[in-house]
Amino acid sequence: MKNRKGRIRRVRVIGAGSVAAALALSIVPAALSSNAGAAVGAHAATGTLTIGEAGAPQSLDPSADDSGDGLYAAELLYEPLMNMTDTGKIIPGLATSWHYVGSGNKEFVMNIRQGAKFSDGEPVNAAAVVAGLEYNAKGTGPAGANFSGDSFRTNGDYQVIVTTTNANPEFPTTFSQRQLSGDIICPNALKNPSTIASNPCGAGPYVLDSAATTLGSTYTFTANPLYYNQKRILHSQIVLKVISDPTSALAAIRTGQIQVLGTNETNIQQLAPAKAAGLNVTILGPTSFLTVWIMDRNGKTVKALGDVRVRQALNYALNRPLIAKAAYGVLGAVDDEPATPGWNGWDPKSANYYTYNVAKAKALLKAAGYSNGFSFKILYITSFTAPDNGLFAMAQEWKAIGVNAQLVGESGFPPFSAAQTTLKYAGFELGWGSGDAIPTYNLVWFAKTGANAFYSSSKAAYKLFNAALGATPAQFPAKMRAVTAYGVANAYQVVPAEQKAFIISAKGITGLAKAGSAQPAGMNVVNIAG
Amino acid sequence: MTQDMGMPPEIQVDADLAEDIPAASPPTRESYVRRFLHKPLGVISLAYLLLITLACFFAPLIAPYPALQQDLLNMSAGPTSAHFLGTDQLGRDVLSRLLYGGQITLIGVLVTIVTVLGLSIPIGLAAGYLGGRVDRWVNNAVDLLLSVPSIIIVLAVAAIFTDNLYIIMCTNGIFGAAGVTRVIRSAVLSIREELYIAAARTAGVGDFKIVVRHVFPRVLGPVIVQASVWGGIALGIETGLTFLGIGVAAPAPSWGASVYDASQMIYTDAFMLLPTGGLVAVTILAFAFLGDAVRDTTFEGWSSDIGRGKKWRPWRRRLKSRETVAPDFVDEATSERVIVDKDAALTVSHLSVTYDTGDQSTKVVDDVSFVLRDGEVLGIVGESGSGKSVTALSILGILPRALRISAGRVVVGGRDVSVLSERLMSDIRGSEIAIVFQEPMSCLDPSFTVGSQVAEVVRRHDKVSRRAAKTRAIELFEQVRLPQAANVAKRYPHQLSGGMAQRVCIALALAGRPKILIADEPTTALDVTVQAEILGLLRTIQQETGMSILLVTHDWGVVADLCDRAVVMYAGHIVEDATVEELFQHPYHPYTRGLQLCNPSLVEDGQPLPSIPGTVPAPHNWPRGCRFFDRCSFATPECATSVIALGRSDDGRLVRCLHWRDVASLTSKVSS
Amino acid sequence: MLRLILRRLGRSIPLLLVVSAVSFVIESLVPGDVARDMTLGVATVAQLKALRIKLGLNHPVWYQYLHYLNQLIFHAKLGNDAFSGQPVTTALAPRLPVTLSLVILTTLFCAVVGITLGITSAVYGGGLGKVVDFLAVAGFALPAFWLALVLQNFLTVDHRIFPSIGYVSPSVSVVDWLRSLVLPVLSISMAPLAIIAKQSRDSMMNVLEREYIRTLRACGISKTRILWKHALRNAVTPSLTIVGVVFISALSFSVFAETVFSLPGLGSLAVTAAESHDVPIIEGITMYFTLLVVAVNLILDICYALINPKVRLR
Repeated sequence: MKNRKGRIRRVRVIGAGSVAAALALSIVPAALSSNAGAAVGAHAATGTLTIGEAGAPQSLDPSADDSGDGLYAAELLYEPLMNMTDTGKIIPGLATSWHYVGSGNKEFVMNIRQGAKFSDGEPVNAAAVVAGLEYNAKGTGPAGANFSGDSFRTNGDYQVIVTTTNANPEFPTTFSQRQLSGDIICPNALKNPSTIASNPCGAGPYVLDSAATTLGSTYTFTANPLYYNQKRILHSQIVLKVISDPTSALAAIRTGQIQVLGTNETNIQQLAPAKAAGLNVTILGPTSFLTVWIMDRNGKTVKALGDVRVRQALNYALNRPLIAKAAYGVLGAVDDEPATPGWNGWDPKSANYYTYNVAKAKALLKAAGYSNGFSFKILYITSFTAPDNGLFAMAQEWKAIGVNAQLVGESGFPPFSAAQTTLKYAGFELGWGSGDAIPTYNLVWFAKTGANAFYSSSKAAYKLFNAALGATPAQFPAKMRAVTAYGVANAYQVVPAEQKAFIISAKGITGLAKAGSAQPAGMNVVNIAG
Repeated sequence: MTQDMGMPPEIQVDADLAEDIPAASPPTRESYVRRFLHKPLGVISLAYLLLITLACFFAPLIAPYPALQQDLLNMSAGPTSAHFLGTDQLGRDVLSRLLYGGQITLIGVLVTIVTVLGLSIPIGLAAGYLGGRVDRWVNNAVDLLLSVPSIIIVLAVAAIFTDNLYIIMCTNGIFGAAGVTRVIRSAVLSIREELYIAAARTAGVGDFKIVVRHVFPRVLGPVIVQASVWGGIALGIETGLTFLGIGVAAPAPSWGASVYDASQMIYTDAFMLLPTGGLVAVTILAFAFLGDAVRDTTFEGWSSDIGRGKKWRPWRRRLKSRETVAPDFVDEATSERVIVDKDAALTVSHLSVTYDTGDQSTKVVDDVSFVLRDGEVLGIVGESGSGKSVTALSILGILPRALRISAGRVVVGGRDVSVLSERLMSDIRGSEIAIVFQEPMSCLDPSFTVGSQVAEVVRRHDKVSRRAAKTRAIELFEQVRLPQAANVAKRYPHQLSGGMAQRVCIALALAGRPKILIADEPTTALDVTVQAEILGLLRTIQQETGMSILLVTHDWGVVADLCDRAVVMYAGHIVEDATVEELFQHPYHPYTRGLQLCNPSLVEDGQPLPSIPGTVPAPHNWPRGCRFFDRCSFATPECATSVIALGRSDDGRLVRCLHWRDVASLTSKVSS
Repeated sequence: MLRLILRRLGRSIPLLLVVSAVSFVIESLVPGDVARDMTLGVATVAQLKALRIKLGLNHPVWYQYLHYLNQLIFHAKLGNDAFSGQPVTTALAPRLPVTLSLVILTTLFCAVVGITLGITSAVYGGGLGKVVDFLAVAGFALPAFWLALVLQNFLTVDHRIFPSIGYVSPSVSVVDWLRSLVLPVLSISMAPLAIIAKQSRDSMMNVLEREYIRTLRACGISKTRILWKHALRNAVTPSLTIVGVVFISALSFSVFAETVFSLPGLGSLAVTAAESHDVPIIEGITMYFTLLVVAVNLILDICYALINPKVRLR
């Protein structure tokens, strides 16, 4: 069934609710870990690239897009303030340089590129950027949620100052193409906001060919001659086709009507037939992980879960390779932290923290006083089949140590999020898309949100988190890793496995993705690094 | 979606033949259930459906694995000893999932059927029986429902009640009820007009009771048919909706979910399509076959096998033959020498017609012989079931499929037309022999003007232009005394009265300038005043054209009015052949005499009307000896023992009786 | 004739009203918070409030419906897509020809092939009759999407005869347009084809039993002429009403063909709109579908009146 089965929907949680407390932080531009890799060779812009995706962009207005499937459209039409390369490095976009002012990461200054133009010919300047940011801040999509407490003003023609009440050490990431918040819409289009979604206007490498576009079905992008860095444009035309049924999608690429199946269009059923048909299969690094977030960490409804030993026992009791296989088949790998390589939450030291040790698990339970086990309820979404299989396997493993995990399924996200708030469920399971750890941890560990319904918080964890938020660029990576390490050691969640995504491309189409890489920037349809 | 399934096929049994053809069901009426059991496909389907339902009901006992259990080492596997039907892409046992899934799916189907029937039966009954405003409102509602593409509403409902399969199937049922309501309403409408309903009403039986006791049982047949049809449709819908992501949420099992899983594995393991898709397809087929069988069982008792699904041919293929019969020939069957009257327009010699059903063959016309002379009007008289109409039709070779000429000759213009090829025969029809039937309105094509139909026949027999044919058609209308002939020609049959239509039919018959006109009860279906007009017309035309007319009738008044001679038929035989005066004043056959005595005008006031006791024997009950034996007051034992031949009386009359002399001596007392 | 048209149109207005009201009410019954569902739960309270106002959800249902009617009748507007802000009419306009092509071609195909099959089998009987009987049953048994996927697999991937997905507008290339629709039409034609074949077979057999056929034969008219002129004409007329039914069911089935073959039509949009609770789009498609049905029924009524003198000359 399209959109429900057969397509693993990754919940990309981007942007957070409010961060609770004000903190004293230092000025720092954020830097991300990077895997050095070869840049994509520069081609002259030729030909048409046809991409198949399982779902359409929810909206071509970046402030309304839910960013699950729309990233390709937005990054073609709009130029963000900063660009993220496929290795995770941040390079200039519409902003050429930036820095934090003062300490606490609450004031951020950007210098705007001179000489860049929007596709309607208007120049890019500070006023345009501020107008764009203010519009995005009112957006109804996750992009808007990134902007709580932010205000913007110009300082001269080419400088923008962002002031926030909520510390954000990662403004460059927030303003990169993967988060949509920094996508600047043409000022002229902002005067008629209702037309943006059907007649988008930005400063990006491509423009929408409305005549050849049917929203929700086919999107045609043609190269933008006014784009400031023509070397980045690899194809004179990019066509995005929405094919909701994965079997049809495979038929389409085998018959040559599509050249690439994006990560949302691929599922494990296609792996073998694609290879058999002689198509290129590129398996990326892990892009999501299976997790059971334990909400009731203070033991309000399930006393046992308030004890760290119990939570650790849950982690030790799992045969992770088996669960990885159950959930993700050949695309699965072992994981035990709520992060994957290539993102800021990844802590190498926490990998393999929990080895498979049933005896230890039992011992821990006994020490905590639960040698007879206990039971608790886990909420999940029934239609996200693959991670659910992992969950079932986990429940089976926990039975062996006397823990009865009652799995309660909801049919879709709306009833799921409603159920979260009822406080009847001590934990919930989801396949979690890899991304920036700050909003993730904020959502599940610190803020009062649906995901953290019990508002379980720990002062120690909080202290570490705030330290990271206020850290200097040099300190930030280590401080962030410390937060992850704490969360893993204290078993705030149980993570058994991660999933690698893959793309399928026709013979001769290469360079779109690097095997094994985290690809935080998505496919290389545009040569960002060049 | 299927509107007409379940309605009885409209069998139009020709009015004139209705009495001659023996009743289809044998007198011993088998019970409904017994007749159903004779249909292998229906029985198998019913058994299969029951079996499947039971198997799914007992899934917890039968299924080897729980529906959700995964065998992670054996995903997408074909059939093995551990998994009889293989596993799906998550390692779950296909057989078990089908068994458990059947619980959900079949209940969904049941929900649809219950909704459809629960709505359509009461509403259809009410609309058909009560009529008036209720009927109008129901019709409007049904029209509305049938105009809405249900998928949109279903999608909207699915958006609200996500994953509630039963509510969604219920919605489908509401839409389905519209079509079924129409079917039930039509069935009730046709039943409502039946006499016994009116009788019950007059007797004071309440409406509700009438509906429940008299109307509903008759409607039960179509209801069951619709129920099974909708069973199949509902199953198909459930499968399709699952594909769209509506209804049952993964990982719950259902047949639709299994088909969907299989279709996603089309490239890795296509085998799974077979058990899953096959189960759905076979079950839908079972519903459909069951519906067919029930429908056939219900409507079997309504008609003979005319028009039923067997190999259907509009008319029997004829032998090709150009045989011409010499005058005065020896008939092979009886080795008799037959004298062919040179003045005869038509000679029928030892004609027998047989009716074939399945394994039985019954004679309906037995050894009939007569001669129609030039310019003569000959009547064939008899009551219903005597075989007179069949005789007339067999002359033209237009008997229905089940009847055939089994013996004898029909000689016209020196040729035996009973063995002519179809092509030659069609040349003769209309141009040498023409016929006028009993029901004028039914005999005209409702889609064409009467003028064009007559012109068509004109052009068939005279090679003339369209304009000339049109002119001739109007001439013919004038010949049959239709006022304002040119205007009438432009009308359609439904715009004419019965009398006008019969005149048109006569014009149709005259179009080919035939030498012989056969009139098969031409006035029986007309009003009395019109009858006289038509008879007068026939007389006029006969005098104008000198045609020979063969007039088939049961009405002695018509015989007296129009005929020169007449043959009397009884139970397939000719029993007397004489002039009309002789038949009226001096009948030689006991039957003829009996009929003459039945003339009400002979009876004095206050006396009971005379009638011939007993009834005509049906063709399969014809006794060996004289067929009138049971009712004859002149009968002696020897009448019953052997076949009575058609003998010749001293004064040249043909009569089939051993005691004709006794009858003759009496008839001097009969006066008209 | 004119009166017939006006009467039919008059009956259609309440139909449209009822249908739009029903689907409006159904959509308004969606439990939970539409605004929160649309934003996946990550929007702030203030943003949700703004969204609700933007969608007009802060008014009671009857008010929203009246506003909708007002826009429709007086401004010929169907509202805006909840997500993209695009006017519904603009969103639906390019999709209408796609669905129309699919549905009309399906109806034509089913009508022509079905009537031919049915009548031929009625006249020649025997094996052909059995084929029609079998088809009538098998047509239902094959799920449309299953057939679509199988056809796609065998006739586009295994043997590159047809394109596997996509729609080509006839203004670009008529040949490619037809090619892109062959498999979609085939996959959803099975059930309607069966219905028409069976119905026209029954109808023809019925007609051939009629007395006027016997009369024509008795007048010496040849068998061929009787069949092709008289029998056919009278047998086809009842089949016309079935064509209307076929059109409606083709509309419903079109969803499957559009999904599997990625045709950018109204049906595929309806499914995605239903999932994302895009009410204006669902309302718009409902109206379009119903209007289509009304139009087709009207055309069929006119054809029927033209052919059947009893109706025309009432």
